[in-house]
Parts: sequence; C-alpha cells; structure tokens
Amino acid sequence: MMRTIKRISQFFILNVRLTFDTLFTYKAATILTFCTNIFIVLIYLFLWKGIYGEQTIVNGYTLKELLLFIILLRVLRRSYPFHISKTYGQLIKNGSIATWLLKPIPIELRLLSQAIGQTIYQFCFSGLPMLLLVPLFANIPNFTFVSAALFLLWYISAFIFLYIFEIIIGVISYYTTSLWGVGNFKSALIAFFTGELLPLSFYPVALLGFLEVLPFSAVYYLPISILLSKVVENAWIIFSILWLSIILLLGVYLSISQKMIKRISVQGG
Amino acid sequence: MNKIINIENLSKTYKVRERNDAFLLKRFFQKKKYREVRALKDVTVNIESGEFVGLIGNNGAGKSTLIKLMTGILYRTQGKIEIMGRDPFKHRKKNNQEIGVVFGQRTQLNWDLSTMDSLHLLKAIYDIDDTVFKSNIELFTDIFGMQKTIKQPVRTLSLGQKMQCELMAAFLHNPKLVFLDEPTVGLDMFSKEAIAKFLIEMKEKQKTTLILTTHDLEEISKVCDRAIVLHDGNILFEENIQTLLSIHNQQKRVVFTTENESVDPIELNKDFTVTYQPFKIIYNKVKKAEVHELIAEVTNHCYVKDVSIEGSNFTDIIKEYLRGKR
Repeated sequence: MMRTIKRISQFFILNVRLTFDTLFTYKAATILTFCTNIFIVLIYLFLWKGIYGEQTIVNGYTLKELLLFIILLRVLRRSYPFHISKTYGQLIKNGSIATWLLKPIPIELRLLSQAIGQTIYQFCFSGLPMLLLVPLFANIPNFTFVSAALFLLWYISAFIFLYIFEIIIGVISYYTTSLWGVGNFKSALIAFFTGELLPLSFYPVALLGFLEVLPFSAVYYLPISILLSKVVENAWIIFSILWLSIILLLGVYLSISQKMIKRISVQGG
Repeated sequence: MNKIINIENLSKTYKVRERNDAFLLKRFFQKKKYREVRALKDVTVNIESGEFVGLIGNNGAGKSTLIKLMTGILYRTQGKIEIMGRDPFKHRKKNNQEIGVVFGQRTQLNWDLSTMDSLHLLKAIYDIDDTVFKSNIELFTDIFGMQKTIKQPVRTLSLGQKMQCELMAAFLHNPKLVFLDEPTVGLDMFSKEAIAKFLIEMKEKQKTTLILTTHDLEEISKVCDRAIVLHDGNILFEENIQTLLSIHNQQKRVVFTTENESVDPIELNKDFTVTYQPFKIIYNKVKKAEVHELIAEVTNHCYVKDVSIEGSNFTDIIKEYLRGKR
C-alpha cells in the first residue's frame, strides 16, 4: 500500500513538472500568451470603465472594486482546468487513449497531474502578469491571513468540482467521438452560471435565487468575495452544495466511465 | 512451460455507421444506420511463456483487434481471454504492470521533451528500481548506439530513432509480455536490422514473450519461433516457422540461363510448372530429389550458361496460402 502511494506520488509530481516543461518548450508561445492575456484583461477593464461613465457605484460596487473583481476573475479563469475535457476528447478521437489505457496508472490521475502542471504554467505566465495591472486600475486590497486561507479552501474545492465536471464531459467522447458541440455547450453553461462575463450580482433577482442552489457561484464569485473580505450570505450553505455536487459528480463519473470505455473502438490498424 | 496467453472462441464485433446519402436537413432527422463488422470470429490461441510469435495477415485480417483485446483496451463480444491468468479488460491496470506495448502508428513518448524525460516518467509509472533502470538504459543505448540522441527532443529524431526509443520504453520495466504492432512501418533496412537484433537480445536476456505483427514477413522469420496467420477474422493456420520453411523447401525453383534466346520445348513428363522467357527456362515446384535429373535433361537438350536453384522464402510461402484464400 505504502509502496503504491509512493509510486503514484512520484509519478504525479514528475508529470506536473514535465507538463510545465512541455508548455515552456515553446518560448514564443509563452510570450504571446503573456501578451494576449494582458490585452484581454485590458479590453474588459476599458469596457467596464465605459459602462460606469460618470456613476460612482453600480450594484453596490465602486468602479475600482469592480475592476479588481474583473482582474481577479480573469486570473482565476486561467487557473482552473477548463481544457481537460478537450484533452480527454482528443485522446479518444485520435486513438491515443490506447497508449494511456496501457499504463498501470489511472487515466484520471494522469489528467489531474497534467491539469495542475498547466495551472501552474498558466498562473506564472498569465495570472501573475494580470495581477501586475491591479495597482494601475484598482486599489491593492488588504488581505488577511484568514481570508487568504479561506480563499485557498474555496479555490481548491472549486478546482476539484470543475475537474470532475470536465472529465465527465470528456468521457462523453467515448459515446459522441467528437466533443465539439458538447464542449461549446459546456463553455456557455459555465460562463453563464459562474458569472464569468458579468458578476452574479448584476443578474436578475429571480435567477439569483435559482443560482443559490447550484454550486457554480463557488467558482469565481464566492472565492473572490471572500478574498476581498466581503460579507456573503449563505456562503457555507453554498460550500456544502459544492461538496455535495462533487460527491454526486464523482458517483456519476465512476458509474459511467467503465461502461463508456467498453464502447471504445480505436480506429485504424 | 506455462501458458501466458489463453484464448478460446474469441469474437469481436464492431458497429460501423453507414453512410447516409439523404440531403442535408433530412439527414439530420433520420435515424443513424449501423452495420456490424465481425473483426474476429471464434479465435482460439495458446501462447507459452518465452515464445516469440508473429501475427500475420492482410490489412483488416484482425491482427490489431486481437492485440487490443489481449491488452485490455477493447472489450470482447464473445469467448474467453486470459492473459497471465487474468481477464485483460477487468484487470487492465494489474496486467499492464507486466506488459509492454508498441503501436507503430502511435507514440507513448512526449514529443516536446527528450526520450530520457519520458523514460524517467515510465520509471515512476512502473516503479522501476534504480539499478534496473540504469542497467537497462545502458544496454538499450549500447544496442542502438543512441547514447547522445536519447537526450534530444523526440520530435527532432528520425523515424527509425523514434521507433528505437519506443522499443526502449516498452522493454524498460522488464515486462513478461510485449506486444509490437507493426513496429517497422516505413523504416529503412538498417533500422529494421537494428530492431531485429534488439528483439533477439531481449529474448535471450529478459526471457520476454513477444507477439509481433508486421507486414514484413522476413522480419518475422528472423525473430519469431511461431507464425499465426489470420484471414478475415479467422486463424488460417499456425505453425512453427522452421517447420514451415523445411516443408516448403522440399520444392525448389530451378532457373536455367541459356545461350540462345529461345529453345524448343522440352518434354519431361513430370509435375513441374515451366515458363520460357528470352534466354531463360524457369521450372517451379521441383522436388529436391528430382533436381539432378532435371539439370541433366536440360543440359542435354540445349547449351546452358548458368543454373540457379532457389528455395521458397517465408514471404512466398505465406503469399501462397493467402492467395488461395482471396
């Protein structure tokens, strides 16, 4: 048992490092990713500046608070494993899944280590540069140790939730082969329910009531609010909903994944 | 010897979607039609530990499907399959600890990193002991002469070098059983020779059991002990390669090069098949014992400049079997 844990942790750490190294191989792409993300966040910032115009407070947010919220949201967006369903889908589509299934390491663990490696890379070359924009557009917030620790707890929980959500979408590829349609639907769903494009407090009240029983507000809205020490009503209820969803999704994944693998047909030779 | 592979009445059926010729929107609302393809039909195979077996067959004969069923990637439709005493699909992870696989058209190496990085990852995956890892790397790089190239990114290697690295990856953890699915596709003769040499060394040093599929039949005859010929999802026959060669080499091909461009037909009253070409007379299916008599008869009849006696090679023998099935 101890030997298996040691073997898996050694593999895990090494694969995180190698994923980072693989992405870092393409230095020009790294620099361009860096620039692209700065441009995207600048577009959002100028858009919100335009929307505010002469107003000082909209929906309880001052302009500087909202700009800080937007920057942190974009940093978080780059730090979640949103690409995993696509990676999984491509492995199934081009048949490379065969070489992955032939290794005595669960495919989910391999994808998780890859997701963490990519997250570290994205944080270093996309997240950190975006954070450098904070002093230019917003006030540097006063973090407390408690708010930072709570933020980390929320972030890790949301990461696990999204990871399981992503591998469920990925495993559907065994059925559909192509993930193009499912992937687009997933992206739209996530963007809408998590408040990726518009903070949730800007949504109609009726919709907000519905969103309170879903775990999606735990992806951006709650972790950022907690980091900024804002009071959020029912935060721990949503936290419970989040973990309940994680357990539920894990159950769904475990029950469908073996059945889906039976559908595999690796094309050509 | 103990059985490492035990397959009884194994069948695999795929569902293949049929093309729908209906026009755009109509096609969208129509139900998809599927056709069943039986890739393997009641296949029974036993392979002993330490054997090197060649799987032979035309494209679509079912070789790769059989390998994928043995490695637990595909799920059987019917029959029984046991690899090292276990169901390969149910115990895929456990079996894979002792299995090595190379699919000629897919890679298990990270193209952006060096082969050495991928090998280190495999060391962690298979929990390979430090001393075994070092000695295997030393042995493999010596055989292939790849001490330097092993440290450069995989995408910068030639096709032959890449395949040699794939083989290193497959044998790194001293597996009991190795599957090689068309490992020499597109390789030059030197790379093929290096791979054959490597496999023969592995047979002696690691006592591995090997299942090899390739279209290069001479390669199978060099490396393998036994050949299993598949045709249209069935086993056409299985035979020891040396036995097969000795049976078929009872019959020879005798070629006479003549002084004159054409000669009068020679009456021999034998079962040979004869072909007359400019400056050549070719006799096929000549029994070993009758070669002397044939040479005497022909040299009496016309002026012969040269005679060559050829045995059937492995490719000819298999071609003959498969041709009969077309």
